[in-house]
Order: sequence, then C-alpha cells, then structure tokens
Amino acid sequence: MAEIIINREKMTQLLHEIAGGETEVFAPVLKEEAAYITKISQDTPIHYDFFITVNSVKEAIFPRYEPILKYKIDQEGVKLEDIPPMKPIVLFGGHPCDAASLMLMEKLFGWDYNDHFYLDRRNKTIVITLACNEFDKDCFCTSLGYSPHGEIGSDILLESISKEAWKAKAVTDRGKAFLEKHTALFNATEKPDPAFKTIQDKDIPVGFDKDAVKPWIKENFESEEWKKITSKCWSCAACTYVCPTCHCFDITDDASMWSGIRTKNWDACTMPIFTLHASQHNPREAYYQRYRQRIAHKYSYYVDLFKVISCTGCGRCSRVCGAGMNILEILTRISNLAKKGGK
Amino acid sequence: MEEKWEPTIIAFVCNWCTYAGADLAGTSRFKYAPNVRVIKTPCTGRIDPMFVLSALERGADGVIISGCHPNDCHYNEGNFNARRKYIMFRALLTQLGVDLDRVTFAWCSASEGIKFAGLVNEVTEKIKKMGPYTEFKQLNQDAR
Amino acid sequence: MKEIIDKAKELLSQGTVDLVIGYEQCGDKQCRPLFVEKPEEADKLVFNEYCVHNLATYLTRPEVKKTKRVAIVAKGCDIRAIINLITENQSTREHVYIIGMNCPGVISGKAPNPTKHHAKCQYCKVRAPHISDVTLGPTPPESVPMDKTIIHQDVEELKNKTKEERWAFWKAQLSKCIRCYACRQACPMCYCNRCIVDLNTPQWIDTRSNLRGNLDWNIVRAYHLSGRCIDCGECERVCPANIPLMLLNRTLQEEVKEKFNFESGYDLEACPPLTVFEKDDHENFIR
Repeated sequence: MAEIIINREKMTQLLHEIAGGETEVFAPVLKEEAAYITKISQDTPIHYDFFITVNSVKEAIFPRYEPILKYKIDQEGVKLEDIPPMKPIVLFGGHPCDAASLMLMEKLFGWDYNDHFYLDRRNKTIVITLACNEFDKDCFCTSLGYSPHGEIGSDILLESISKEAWKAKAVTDRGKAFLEKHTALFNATEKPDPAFKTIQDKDIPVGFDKDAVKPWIKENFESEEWKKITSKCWSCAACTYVCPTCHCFDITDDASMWSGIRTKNWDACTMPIFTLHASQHNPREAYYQRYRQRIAHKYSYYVDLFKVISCTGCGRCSRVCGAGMNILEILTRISNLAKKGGK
Repeated sequence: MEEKWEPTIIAFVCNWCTYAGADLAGTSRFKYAPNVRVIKTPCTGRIDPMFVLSALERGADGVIISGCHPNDCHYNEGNFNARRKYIMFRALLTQLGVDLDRVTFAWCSASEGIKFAGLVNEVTEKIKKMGPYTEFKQLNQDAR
Repeated sequence: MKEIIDKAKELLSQGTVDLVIGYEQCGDKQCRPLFVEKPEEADKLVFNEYCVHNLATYLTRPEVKKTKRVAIVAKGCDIRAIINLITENQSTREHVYIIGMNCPGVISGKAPNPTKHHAKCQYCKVRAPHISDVTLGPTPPESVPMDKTIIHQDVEELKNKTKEERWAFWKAQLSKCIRCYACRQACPMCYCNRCIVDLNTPQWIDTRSNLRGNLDWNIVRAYHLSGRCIDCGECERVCPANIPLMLLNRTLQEEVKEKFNFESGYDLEACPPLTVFEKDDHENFIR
C-alpha cells in the first residue's frame, strides 16, 4: 500500500467535514492556553501544538453525564422515552496511552453486565491516535509495558514525519475502511523531515517494577506508609476525572411531578462521601483511605479481576494535582519498598 | 385557542408579617394578580439564595422576597441577616449577568395588605413586559 | 531556607509542635506541601517564589486537628486564612504556631512553566506577616498602595460589559467545569463536613456537570465565601478547566469592602460580616 500521508490542514478539513454530518467528532481544542479533547462543530479551530491534552479521550465514549432513562406522566399514565441511539464517533487527538485505556475500560464495562451505554458507543467509535514525539517527567507508559508508538486500542495510528504532517497506519479493519473512504484527503505530499525529532521507547525510563506493586499493596494494606504517602492529598476528583481509565459513576434522578430523567454521571472514589452509608458510617472517612483505594483499585483489584493494571502511565493525574501528589513517585516508592522487603 | 403567556411569580414570604399582610389583602378583597405563588417561611432570614436560584431554574419568571420591616422581625434579627445576605447575592447575580429586575425585595408588614397587593401587581406587570425568563429556563431544558 | 529548617527542627525536637507543615521543592519551578513529623525530615523545607499553595487548608483536617500543636509555614495571605479559621472556631490561636514568612510575591502560573506572578501579590498589604509566632526571611519590599479600580481591573472590565455579554461569558466559562471540586478542597475556607452539594435530601445542587449544575455550584460556592474569601487564588490555580473563579470571588470581596467596610483575615477579633449586621445597612434595593 502506498504511504498514506496527511497534513494538519487536510486533517482539519476532514474533521470539519465529518462534524457537519451525523457523526460526533472529538478533537483537541485550545482553551485558555491548554489543549482539551472536546466535541467540535464544523468550524471549531483544531489545536495541534500540544504535548498532551489536559483531559483524556474517555469523555467521548464515557460522557461526563448522559441520560439513561426519561419519562413523562400524563392522563394516560407513565410514558417512557427512548434514549436516542448512540451516534458514530470520530475520536482524534489521543496518544497511545489514551487508546490503550479504552482497551482497559472495555473489560470493566463488559464484565458482569454489558453496559451498552459504553459498549455501543465504543463500537461506533473510530480512534485516530497521535504517536508521541515528546514526553515529560510525569509520563511512565513504558513502566507499564506501553509505548509512545503503541497501537493498542487505536484504529489508525498517526506517526509524525514532520512538524505538520503524519504517516497514517491502519491498525484495524475499521481503520483501514476509514482511510479508504477518505483517501482523497489522506494524500498530502509532505516528505519526511530528516531534522524532525521523535522519541523511542527507550527514551522514557522505566521507573518502577510494575509486578512488585500489587503484592506490596496486598500485604501492606494497613501500613503507616499510606498516611505518609497521602498526607498532602486533599481529596478532590481532579485526578480521577482527567484519568483515562477511571470509570466510577453515579446514577441520579432529576424529576418533577410530570417528567423525569435518570442520568449516569461521573463520580470519584476520592470524593469524601463516595462510601458514606445511609447510617452515616463511612468506611473511607480519612483522606489516606481514599487515596489508598484509588491506587489499590488500579494496581491490585483490577489485576485480580482482569489480569491487567488499570493505568496506562499517561501522568495526567500528577500534572493536574494542585496539592503536588505524583503517582510515579508513589509507585516508585512502593516498588522500592517491595524490593527491600519493607513495610 | 392559544393561551397568552402569563408569568409565574414565586413569592418567598415570612410567616409573621408578609404572609399575614397577604392574608389581609385577601380578606379586604384587594385584587392582585393570580400569577403569584406564595411560599411561606418562618422568616426572611431562613430564605437561602439557593431558593431564588432554584425557583428561577424551575420555571419562575420572577421572584419576590418579602418580610418584616427592620426592627419588627418576629425573631428580632432575621431580616437584618437576610438584608446582608441579599446585598451579597445581588452583587453576585449582577456579575453573572442575571437580570436583577426579576428579583424583588420588599418589607411588607402584617397590616400592609394594600402594599402586598400593590407589590404583586407591580412585579407581575414588570415581568409581563420583560417576557419569560428564557435564560434560566433554557438551562433546565438542556438539563432534561 | 536554613532559617525555616532550623526553626522546624527546634520546634519538633523540643516537642513544641507535633507537626510542621511547610513546602519542599519538587521540580525546577515547582514546590509542593510537605508534612514534617521528625526533625531529620525538616531538611527538605524550602521557601521561595514557587511556594504558592495555601497550607492553611490542611488545618481543618481531622488528623491535623488531633495533633497537640501544629506549626505552619505561612505567607501573609495564608495567615489571613488562619485568622479566619480562628474567628470561625475551626482552630485556635494556641493550636497553630505560625511561622510567618516575609514574602515578596509568588508565581501563580500553571506547571510546568509557571511564569506569571500572582496579581494579588502586587497589592498585598501583608508581605510582612501581620500575625505570627515568628517571622522569617528577608524584609520584602512594600507593595505600592493601589486604587480599587486597578486591583479589581478585570472585575471592573466585566462589569462594564452588558448583562447579556456577562451571561454569555459565564455560560461559556462554567460549561467547562467538570465538578471535580478541586476549588472547594483547595480552599482553606471550605471546611464543611458535608458540603451543600453533597446533600441529597433534598438535592439542592444538580451533581451533573451540565450547565445548570455548574452554574448552581459555582454561584453557591462564591456566595458561601462572601466576606470570608481571603483572595489566595488557590481555587483558580488548581482548576483543571482554567475557569477564572477569582472574578466571582473578587466581585464579592469588593462588595463586602464597599458595603460593610470589611476585609477578611486581618483582625483576630473581627466577626465574619454575614454573621452580624448594622442597623443602617444599605437597603435602597428593598421596596
């Protein structure tokens, strides 16, 4: 197959064209000096000069809030309203860590109950991923076995050949079909720029032993280390909401006498009332208990259930944390303690 | 036949003064617009600005808050606290671009039946001219 | 900074305090909070222009309240928060050992390359802490007294727009909110055991991050801070969505100053303005 090249201008044109139709398009948009994955319309300017978006791609497939049930009551009784079927989605602008997270989330949403709200959307989404050309001190995808050029979870992987152009590679049949359908735009003539620098796996150092984390967590659940590690955390949900693999949700009703809507909204185990019982007992009342839960869920419980760590090393949690918590530092500390046999 | 739009006005009133004043307006047969829905609270000091927001979001086109005159509060100081609260809340609403003409404050005592009727009529007329409060209603639509 | 390290070591080894809350360096242009319980851990303490966090927010944590006494490295703005917490009975003067820091100003821009100095630092009246148990650091330059219109320039600019423009502006800004409550958790004055947004019988505030819920949340939080906000700007700094929250908070600070002649956090004897009243409070808006 001939090399498939696309440049920024044609990508913008492609995304705008698709956004004008029945498909929802999510792409990076510049807001207040940072890039966010957002649903775009036909004329939203698309941002390309960013290292990583503040939020992750999960918003496209697992929205911040979505209706799951609507009803109206009138003289004839209760009438349920259908939630309209999910629209197809084009998801552009995530990195390999984002795409890998979709693979991780699917395991949970298809586990003991097929969450069709997630799965239907996922099946209608085409994921176009940008391979990474830079990284920062908070990135640690390689520590978890992922790669800045990884293909897991993507339909199309775009490798930069120069600052403004990419070579597109179809990873799945769906990706291949997409490239064929839009071949008219994937025909840029840019040549690879020999001066353009990208990164390789070996550039991102492996920070810790990922297999040592779960055994340490299991054996040291009550360790005083947790209090030391988490003393700064102030228990908001910023890390949870920007994380590509965090998937907790709450179901709330908003109703009046005559109509109502039930929605599924984002929730976070870090929130103070996440485990508050009706009796007012809260098993995770202290801050350290909640942070411990978040780490334990990702690095221990998820592994028990699905044999894979629920984290892709994107580092967004560390970047967004206002209190200075750094997950890589914490995992490195745990891994070192595990090696020393420490508690 | 299409119904002409009529504003919905929610009035949060204190039990001891304004509610009694409203009662007096009724017994004295002073006519006032039927658009108002009166919600009785023990004191204006109980009225949280959250009530005003909720009312506007759930379909009110205008809100009235009314209580005892200063120094006449049944609970001595509730209305003084309310006054301070609303000074702050008005500043916040102004900064957000909410039209303050939609929210009216008044002191109306138990003997001021005429004032209550006049207040309701005046507010209803004003809101009729302003039209439905679509900005907040739109929020509700989108939420559903 | 050696002075802080020495002071912390002295306080901890003499048993004056059980815990020192200060700052440590965690990057070229980044600092973060540090909890020190043993004298040997105090070597990491620093103080520089990247120490922007308001550490007073930790004073209402149960584990900090349980300590016999806690020392806190505090800039003038942080001390305003500590004073407010004391006047609101969330802490006592005896429980907090205030290590006041002379502060010429801190940088507020977001990591990894924060460069902007905080606007609040330009007009800060307490670069030399107004209340402390000890004051460390070189004497800072005095800030130039500034006119309200300059201090609150961005607030005034917004006021000069039409109300439709303001509504459109806030709708655009607040629709970005993801309801992570980082603003609430970072704020030293937000310490309610059960926040209004966490109440569900009745559910006052829509927990969904739709515009209605976001508007309600941000309005209520700003309103609950009236007369209490000390202008530390932490809420705006930690917001992942970059919402200009301080525009709302400073509008209310301005109103409190104008109508009640009060600025919070300077006087240990003062009462929060919304808990008191004057017989002649402004009421020309009341019919």
